[in-house]
Amino acid sequence: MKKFFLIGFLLVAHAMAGQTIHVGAKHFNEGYILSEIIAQLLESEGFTVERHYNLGGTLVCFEALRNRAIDVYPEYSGTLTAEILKEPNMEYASMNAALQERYGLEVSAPYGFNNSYALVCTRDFSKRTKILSIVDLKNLPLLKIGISYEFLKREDGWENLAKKYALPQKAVGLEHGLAYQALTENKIDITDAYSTDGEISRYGLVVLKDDQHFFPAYQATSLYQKDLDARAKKILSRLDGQIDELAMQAMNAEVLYQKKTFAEVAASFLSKKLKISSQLTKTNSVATEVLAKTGTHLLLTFSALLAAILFAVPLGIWLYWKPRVANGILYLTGLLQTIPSIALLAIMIPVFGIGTWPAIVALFLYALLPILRNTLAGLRSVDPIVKKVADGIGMTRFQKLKWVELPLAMPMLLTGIRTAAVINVGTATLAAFIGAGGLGEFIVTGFALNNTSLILRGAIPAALLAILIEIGFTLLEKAWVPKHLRGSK
Amino acid sequence: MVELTDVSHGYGGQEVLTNLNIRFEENKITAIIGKSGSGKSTLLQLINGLLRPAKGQVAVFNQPLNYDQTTSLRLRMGYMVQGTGLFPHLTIAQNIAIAGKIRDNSKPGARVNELMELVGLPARYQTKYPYELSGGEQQRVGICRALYLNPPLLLMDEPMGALDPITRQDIQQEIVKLQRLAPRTMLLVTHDMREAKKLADFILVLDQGKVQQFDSASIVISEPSTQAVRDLINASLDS
Repeated sequence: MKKFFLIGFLLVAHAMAGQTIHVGAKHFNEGYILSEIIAQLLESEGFTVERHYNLGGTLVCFEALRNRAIDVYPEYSGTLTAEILKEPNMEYASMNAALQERYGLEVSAPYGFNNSYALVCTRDFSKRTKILSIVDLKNLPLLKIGISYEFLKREDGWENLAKKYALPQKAVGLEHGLAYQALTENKIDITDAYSTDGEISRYGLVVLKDDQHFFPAYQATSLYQKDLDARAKKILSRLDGQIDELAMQAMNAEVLYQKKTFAEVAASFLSKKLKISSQLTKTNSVATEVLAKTGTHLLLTFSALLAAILFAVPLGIWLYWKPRVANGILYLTGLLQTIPSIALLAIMIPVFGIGTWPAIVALFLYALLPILRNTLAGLRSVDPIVKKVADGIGMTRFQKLKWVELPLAMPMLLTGIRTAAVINVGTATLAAFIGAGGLGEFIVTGFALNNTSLILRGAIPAALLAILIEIGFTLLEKAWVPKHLRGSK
Repeated sequence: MVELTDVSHGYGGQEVLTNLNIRFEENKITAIIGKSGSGKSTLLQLINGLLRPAKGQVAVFNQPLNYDQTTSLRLRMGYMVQGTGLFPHLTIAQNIAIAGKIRDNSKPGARVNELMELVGLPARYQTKYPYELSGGEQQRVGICRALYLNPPLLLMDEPMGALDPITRQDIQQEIVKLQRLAPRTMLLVTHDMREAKKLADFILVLDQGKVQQFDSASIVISEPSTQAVRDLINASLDS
């Protein structure tokens, strides 16, 4: 009997230790650091943590959480009220209640800092133009205002801000990681920033006063499933009120300017504040990491491409035989092509979750049109006299297809597949936004940290892959198509 | 050999061939002649089963056409079209031997050499592609391809329509020679009465889908039965 209790106890202990919690992170500096703090904190208490970083913005993170692809990620109260609940002026407590009621989600108490949106300019510029607050912008209609894409589109973003303050300027969108550089090089005068950005102290920027209190509070906190393990919730609550704005700015700056890893910054915070020592896994060498990510990239690209070939080529043949439905189907696949990649990836989450599968499905959809269209066009371009002869001398429909129509359509078909492959190598870099990995991880993280060498670490192998694909297909065409029938190159 | 009984056919409500009753003689060359739109190509497609008559019956090799087995039937009919219709991605040898591949997936054999020699093509052409040959040479390849399985029936849809006069004469002589060596039933669609006179034993004149005259070549030319036949003779022989 004792034995049974012992075994039972061991099983329970094992189950608790082995429980896996999926932690998500938005693709920007602070998001990575906070997620890493959460992850290490949970690990120190015996949980197994799976990290899903680089998720593409609020939309992807929130969808992933709702669909239980992740269990917890750091979010801001202002984002939750304005973007998710659409009630910008909600109090923290009623926000928590609304989240529980509408989505089955819950937040912990705030970490203690407010990372509000803010408009910033250089100190020089502020002195020259005497601009100190947002109201002052009204009288200078020719200012160059460069705004991050997310801020441009948000409820609590540029459009409504401009309305409230009656600002006459037009804003242009740009990648947030590039905004500070543009600002210091005087390419733009004003940009949006987060009040905990490490860059503010580093570049000595002026934060413009929000006299009319347009920006809601952005209290950072952990957002998780309501039914998250109670012990995990309790552990997460140890972060309540532990991080103030200066601490956050300092951690951001450590990553940006002292080139520390997120894991190191998170570990030193946990050891100083909560006396927790984390086991840091040794990071791999750059070469191993590039190779591993290139491997993932190739896996994503080519499994999607292969699936698209296996689907679109037979479909193209069928449509060639059924010309009446061909245009409708082509129109539909064309429509798929017009959906922006990030939106398509986000649409996938409720069905396929996050990670490899939705990425492959999205890439598969993007590869369909070029392959389908070129298969059909290639078959249609075969000389009608040759087709007539094939019938007249006794070929069956499939013999005609195999021996005459497909070989003659091959140059166009290969061009379609090549186009799809190159599109896929490029689009696969975006797959990082839904946690599918690949070379895009370098690029996304590099943008978040404004780290050019990191961006290049992803961009150069991706470009090389595209070139290799071009070469590969040229060789394939040489092998499969007689010289006088080769269309291109 | 080939017989049409009460055959009518049309496209989209318009009749192209009306009430044909024709029996083609075995081992003879019959020229099917008429202006464009007279229905002569449609007639050929009815015989090899590419088209199914709206009315009436087509019999080939003394049996009504079985439309479920047209492909095996077509292997017993050689087929030549205007502009050769050679497969551009296949070598000359592969083009000539394609009927063997269709029948039993066989590779080009000694028969290729034999045929090329017969029509005066050098053996080294076997590995060339069609685009490397002149129009006349391509047409000879077309003849070889049609004869590969030694079919008892040969259908020719204006095979010399795109050739210059000198090459055309050469090919015509080639056909006369082949017929002397081993007679077979040939149906030759043309719009050229001189070609018909030179090659054919019989002439079938079509106009607007109806038979104008069907008789031995000499009689059609010496005693045209209708104005349409006279016009065709005058248009071809005077120029």
